[in-house]
Amino acid sequence: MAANLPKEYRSALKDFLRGGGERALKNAYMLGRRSLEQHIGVLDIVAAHHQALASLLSHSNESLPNNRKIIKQASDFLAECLSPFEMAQRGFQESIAALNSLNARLEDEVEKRTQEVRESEELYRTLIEISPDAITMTDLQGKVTLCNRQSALMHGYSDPDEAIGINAGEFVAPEDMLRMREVTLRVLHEGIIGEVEYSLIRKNGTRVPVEVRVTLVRDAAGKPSGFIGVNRDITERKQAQVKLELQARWQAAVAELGQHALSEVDLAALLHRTSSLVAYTLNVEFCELLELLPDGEHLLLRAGVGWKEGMVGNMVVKAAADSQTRYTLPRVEPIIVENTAEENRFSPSSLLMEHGIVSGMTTTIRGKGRPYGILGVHTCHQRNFTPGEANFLQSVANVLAMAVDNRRLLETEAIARQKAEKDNELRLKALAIVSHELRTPLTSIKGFATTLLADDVVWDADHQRDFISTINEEADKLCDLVEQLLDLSKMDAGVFKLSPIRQHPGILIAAAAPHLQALTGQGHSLIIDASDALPDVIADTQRIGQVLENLVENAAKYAPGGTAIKVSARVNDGFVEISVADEGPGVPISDREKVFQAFYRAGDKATLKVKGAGLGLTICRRLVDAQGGRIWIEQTNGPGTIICFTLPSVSVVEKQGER
Amino acid sequence: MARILIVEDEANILKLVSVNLEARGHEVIGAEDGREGLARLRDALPEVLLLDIKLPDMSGWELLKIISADPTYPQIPVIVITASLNSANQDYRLYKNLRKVLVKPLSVQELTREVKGALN
Repeated sequence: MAANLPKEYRSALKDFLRGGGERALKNAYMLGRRSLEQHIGVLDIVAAHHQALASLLSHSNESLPNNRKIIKQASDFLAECLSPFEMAQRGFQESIAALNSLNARLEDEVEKRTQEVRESEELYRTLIEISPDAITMTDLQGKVTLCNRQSALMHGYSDPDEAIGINAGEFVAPEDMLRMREVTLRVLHEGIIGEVEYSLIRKNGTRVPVEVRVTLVRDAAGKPSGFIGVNRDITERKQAQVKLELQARWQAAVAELGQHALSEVDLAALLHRTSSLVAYTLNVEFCELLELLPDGEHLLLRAGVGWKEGMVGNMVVKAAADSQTRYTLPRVEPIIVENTAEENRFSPSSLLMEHGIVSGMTTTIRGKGRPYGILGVHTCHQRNFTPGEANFLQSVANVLAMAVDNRRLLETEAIARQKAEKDNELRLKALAIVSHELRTPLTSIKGFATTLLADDVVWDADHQRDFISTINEEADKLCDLVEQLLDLSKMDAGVFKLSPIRQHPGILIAAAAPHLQALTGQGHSLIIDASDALPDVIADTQRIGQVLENLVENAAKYAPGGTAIKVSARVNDGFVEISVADEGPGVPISDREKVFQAFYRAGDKATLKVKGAGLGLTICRRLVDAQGGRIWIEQTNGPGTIICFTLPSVSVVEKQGER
Repeated sequence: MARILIVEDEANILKLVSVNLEARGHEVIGAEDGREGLARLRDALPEVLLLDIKLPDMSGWELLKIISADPTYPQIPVIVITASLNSANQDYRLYKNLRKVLVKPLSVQELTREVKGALN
């Protein structure tokens, strides 16, 4: 048995030394140990024997040569018996040495690894520390295990160490919590890199918009152990985004308004729509559209949002010297008020105070010419309106100004068109009258001419003479009418020439007297009364003669035969007033102004039997007006007509010249 | 020959029509306005009416309307003599007795031809 052991042991040891590893070493150790346990008793006996034999041998060396031989053999045997144990012992020693060497190697390895880990950790820490992003490591529950300075600052801590141990989840805004959890779960279970934008609430309660990228961390065994989150402050991006969105919203609102301004027929509807749109877009409680009334002192609340019942359309505010409206009107930029109560550029309006208004903006709706009014917005809480918002308000005001200008233009155009239509109508009417007036004498002329030419009737000399004299008479009428029309046309065209000279009124009337006598000669007496004491006048002799002839001719036409027609002159407030009075039927009061209109013929059936085109007085008025005078029918109670006209005396003309 | 009523306020035109129609054997009755014309129409019993449109008291069209609406007036042919451009706007069918509208200035030949035609 004992002889077998060393072999097994040797083979196990060999196995180990060949590199069988731990298992082989264990095996060798176990075999050695078992062998030693089994033979430990034998070993002790053998050892004792060996010792005894050796001692015996040394003491009986010379006396017992035979014994010595036996003992030597026994000793050799025993030594042989001992050899496997020695070998085992040597094996142990070798294996221990091998183990020691292995251990040393392992320790070296561990030391090396530890060093590497230490270096890599240092690298990570450096990377994390220098990252511009906020980096946070948490355990699976969200407790912060490591973070950099950026992360600490973002969460409201001054030092990363202070942030260790806080729960990152508690810094997520409530409204973002659900989304954050969903993403975290996906990171945990699906191994994705999660991305979330959320509002981070700092330790002090302020908010910051952030974007986080979350990834899972595993331990050495590959088990999830926590998260790494990289947070980025997106305040600027958000602000830019919000600004862009606002600008887009404002632009859309202005564009929408522009459309309405073009298509909306009713200005009031446009103003109402505008105030609603502005209030909605700027998210304000009050909007006002004040129209500057013609007096330039008061403004009417034409449209608005938020005002007390019944105010819109009715309320008028005065633009007092120290009021916000008065302050706003001449200015081109919107006026921004942060706090009405603390305003020192103008006095707070009682209306705004009454509505509890704190902040606001007002701007002028500036069309061509004078401002149309004011557009304003107000809030009940303090609000600092941004330049962008002020620009928006101004843009709306500009669109409105354009709309109002357009409307004014349309109105002006409509009035002009109506006037043109009316003028045209009048012109057609005048043309019809002129045509009729021209055709009537022409009918007689052509009629009697064709009568004379007719070959089925032979006219005697008396008839022939009568017809020819009628033709002559009608031709004269036609001539006069054409003359009058020509005068009026010249006046209309502005080519009518006057030659005024300084002269005494008596001389002026005397110059016309022979014609006047001829007009009244048949049945009326003409009385002329012009005192020498009258001042000189500046007048065109021929044209005033024409006026006098016309007035006297009218008097002679209407006044009964045998009555007097009186032409007189007197001084009237720096002017010389010349009047023509008759004892005819008079002109009805309602017609006393109308008779000066072209083709208007006053009176009843009886007076209308008197023929005339109705141009005489029109021409008279134009002639007198052109010489700085006035012509009218005097208001008299009795029968008869007195037509008066004035001419400026020399003193009046000189005074006008001085001015 | 025939009795002809002419309503015309222009003396010279009344004279023109009268001398010509009388020279051709007709009897001419003149009236200076609408009212007189209507009276003569009833009492003189003319066979043709010559009617001016621009009359002092009413328009010739108004007079025609009165005659057309009242069968007690003799329903005789009417020849209108007008200088008015607006005559073109009138609906002649409204006046059943209207035979012709002559526009001034007119020639005697035209006038006598139309009167002759109205009498046949």
